[in-house]
Amino acid sequence: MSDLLATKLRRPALAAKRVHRPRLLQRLNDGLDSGRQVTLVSAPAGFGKTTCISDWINALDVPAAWLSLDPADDDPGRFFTYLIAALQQVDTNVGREIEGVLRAGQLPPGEVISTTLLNDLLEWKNRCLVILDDFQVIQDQFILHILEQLVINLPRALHLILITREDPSLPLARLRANNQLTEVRATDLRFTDREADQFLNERLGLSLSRSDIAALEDRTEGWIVGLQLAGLSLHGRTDSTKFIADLSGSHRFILSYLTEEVLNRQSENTQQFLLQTSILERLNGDLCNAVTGRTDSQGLLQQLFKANLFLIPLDDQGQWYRYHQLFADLLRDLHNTLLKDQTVELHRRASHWYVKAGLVREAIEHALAATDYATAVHLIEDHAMDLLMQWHIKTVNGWLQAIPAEWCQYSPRANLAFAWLHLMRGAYDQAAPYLQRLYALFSDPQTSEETTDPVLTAKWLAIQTMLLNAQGNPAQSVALGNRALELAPENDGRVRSLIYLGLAGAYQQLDDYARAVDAFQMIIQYGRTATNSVSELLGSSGLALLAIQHGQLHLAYDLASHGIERVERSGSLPPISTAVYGELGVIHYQWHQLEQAHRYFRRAIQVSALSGYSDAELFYGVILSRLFQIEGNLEAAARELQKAVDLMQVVAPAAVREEVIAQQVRLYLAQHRLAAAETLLTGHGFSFQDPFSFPDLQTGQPNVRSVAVLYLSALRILLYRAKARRELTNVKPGIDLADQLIAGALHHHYLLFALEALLVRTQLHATLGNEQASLTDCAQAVELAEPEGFISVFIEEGPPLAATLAALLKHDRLGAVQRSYVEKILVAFSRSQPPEAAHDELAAPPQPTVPEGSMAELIEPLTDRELDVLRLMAEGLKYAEIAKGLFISVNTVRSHVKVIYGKLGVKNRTQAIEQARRWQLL
Amino acid sequence: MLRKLAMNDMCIYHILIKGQVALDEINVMSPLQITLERIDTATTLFSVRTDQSGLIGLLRHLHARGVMLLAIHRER
Repeated sequence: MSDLLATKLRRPALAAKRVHRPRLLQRLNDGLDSGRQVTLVSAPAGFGKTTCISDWINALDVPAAWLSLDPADDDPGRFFTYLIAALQQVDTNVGREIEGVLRAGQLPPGEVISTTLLNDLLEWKNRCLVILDDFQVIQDQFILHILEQLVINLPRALHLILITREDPSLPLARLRANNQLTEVRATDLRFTDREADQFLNERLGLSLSRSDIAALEDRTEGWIVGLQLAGLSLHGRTDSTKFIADLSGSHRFILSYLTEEVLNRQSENTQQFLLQTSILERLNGDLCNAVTGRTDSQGLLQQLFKANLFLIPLDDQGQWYRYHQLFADLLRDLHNTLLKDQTVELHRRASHWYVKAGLVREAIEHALAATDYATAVHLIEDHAMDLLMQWHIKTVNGWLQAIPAEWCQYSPRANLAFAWLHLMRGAYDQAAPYLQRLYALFSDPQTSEETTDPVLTAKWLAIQTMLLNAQGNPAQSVALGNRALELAPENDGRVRSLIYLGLAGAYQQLDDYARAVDAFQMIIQYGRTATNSVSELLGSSGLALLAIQHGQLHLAYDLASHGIERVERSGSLPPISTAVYGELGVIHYQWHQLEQAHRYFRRAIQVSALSGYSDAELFYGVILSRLFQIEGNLEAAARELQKAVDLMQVVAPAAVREEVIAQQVRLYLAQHRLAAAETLLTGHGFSFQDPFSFPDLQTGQPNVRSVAVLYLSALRILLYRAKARRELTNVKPGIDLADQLIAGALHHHYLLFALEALLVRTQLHATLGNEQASLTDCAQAVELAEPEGFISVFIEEGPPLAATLAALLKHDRLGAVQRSYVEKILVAFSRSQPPEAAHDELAAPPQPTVPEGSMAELIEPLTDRELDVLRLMAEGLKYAEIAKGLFISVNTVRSHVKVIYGKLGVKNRTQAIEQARRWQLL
Repeated sequence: MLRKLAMNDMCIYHILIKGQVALDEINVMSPLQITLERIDTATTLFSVRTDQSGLIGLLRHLHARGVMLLAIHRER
């Protein structure tokens, strides 16, 4: 934890001689003892809110988590990082999961944050206080919404204290009505005459009469900062009564007047120090020396503290301080009047000190205040990626917005930083203007000297490779990536790993396995040299996925398990770890180690939900459904699949969408819902009416796995028809299609896909009674599968394949394959529960368990409202007319229609109406 | 003679906002309980009893919900 963060988590120290305020402590104690869960201390600045709570907690023997907030903390990533750090002062286990995700640069969805934190806090059995000081700085709606959930559902053991200058936008009225809120407001905090007497005469050592105190209390309205300033001004005066009588006006006026009075009583040396250091949010001796050019700042800070000059210590060592906010504001006003010509230089010096101290945020803010945009942009560009990875998007965006547009226009660095800011969030639209400007700047090197900088050019090329990949232009991406490699220095691991990331994506699109492997290995290597664990894991995960697709399960296992081990050791939880947990799940699944597979899939889905990375949740949800299916639990399989289908309404990456359809087909066939399975594929150009037809398949086209998965699903339907209905006419065309799929997969070394296709062809041959061909295919599959120990790929095909495997043993058709391997598969078959609906289809064609031609065909039936929308669609009404008819918005109609299409498995209105009529929904 | 208003004084404020609003909805998450005084097609008038910190917090809460403020009047 940095020194600066530690100062935010520390309860402010109390002055030894302070005013005791038993009436306030009693009220706070009463609130706590009566079980109220929230205390609100709401009053303008200078009413002693923080001191009051600090004094109370000091007297209580209750663990407390304190967080002092700054305006910069009104950024979700930053706020929750600090909140968790504060809670961990009480219990190190709180928020560990979210912390890992935040550290890895992701902001979990709001409800995941609130639920996870609440679950952790529910573990607290003993009472604990959580204090958020200066809460008025929090205005971000995302943060407030999550806190609202926390406030509504606060665990019994937790008591929340909000110290604020204004009532926060939280359900306080509700808490008040339920007697769950203790309030301490300005009227409670203002000093009484007695407290003012104690403060002025005992603490500040004045000798004021009772009437002077009453007059001063009246003039300042019991406002503590006003009293303190007045007390400091009265020191050594002989005309106290007149001074007090002359004091009048608003708080602000009194404050301004008294601050000048107090300052005028300091030596010129001290005045100069106060005004020069007023530009700093926090002060320590070394920083003040650097800013003022003095050498005695530490001693001076201690003197100012002893003289009650509004200096608040931030640590126990007397190193870090800050000025009281009101005093700082006034000092800055004076600074702007008296030292205006020094301001830029003072900020510049502060920025340099912070750079040396490694505190980038403060360095950038002072550089911006010094209008030193060149330094600010350099710092932002060097550190923006790290800060964005910590999800400080609002902060980085604020800095970039602070740079004048005319300055930014010609700065490649600034445009690169802006482009990354948006690309990191996947906001390609918002990145476009900066990308266009970068194109212009780099195509005309005369516009800026920086465009001749090879590192900057390499960064620009790295961005372009990724854009080209996204546009499906891998060949050009490779060309630019290689040029970038020539320019990027060998020792700049961060830039080189970014370039290789683009190259790996391009080579995968080109099905260039060897080069993709090399690129991923380089990402791992440069990630290690740049000590960037996320890059390293990206490389490991990409390699592991390639290895799985190419049937190298042991290599994939080594890569994924080592990668995850390093991540777990680092305590961070980057979103990419979802993929690695999922990969481990797939590997164990293929080895038929189902318990381990379950564990890793659960973890993958959990991390995916935490990081809001729904693509992975969707993909691994599908494989989990397959896992339940081979365990014979069709209900759980359907449930997991439905979750994936629901997620597809939100995210629908093309490759994953096809995996979802493929599993829907598998599951429908296991449930003997042939029509539903066929409907899914007819929408993609397949026809199962005689003769079987399918979209053109270009052999050897890239990404065989994702493209061909639908063709394999079509073969499963033909197989079902042949087994269950003895429809054999389409089997031969099906075998021909399987030949092409298998040849393509083997050509590209997609072993797993080749195995699935071989096993389907094995069964297609069997339906025609061609036992030799069936055994030959099965033998080839076993031979290909044995070295890496695949098992589940056989079990997925169901009991008929067990018979074929047994025949292989019986006829000694194993070739070089170990007999024990086949026996192991057969043992796994005997242990697996056949799906309740899937009996021996060859022996006895099953009766559909669900009546065809009804709404029961749907995994999830249409709701009443969806049926209303469907009926109006069938009447030919437009969206606006439907909205009007049902008293809902057009957007709501659109979302209903989207869900209806998803449930019916159709793509447009005509198909939806046809399907609905077929299923008697209309 | 009227006593001067202090920062900590609790007062009743009457607040006029544009259009009709669902006060129940606003009250659910509001820092202060809002009491409806009058509502018509164009404006809504409600009152609250609070101090300066409460008033500022409430105005910010309303602003964050897109409510347009027309007038504030302090009851003497």
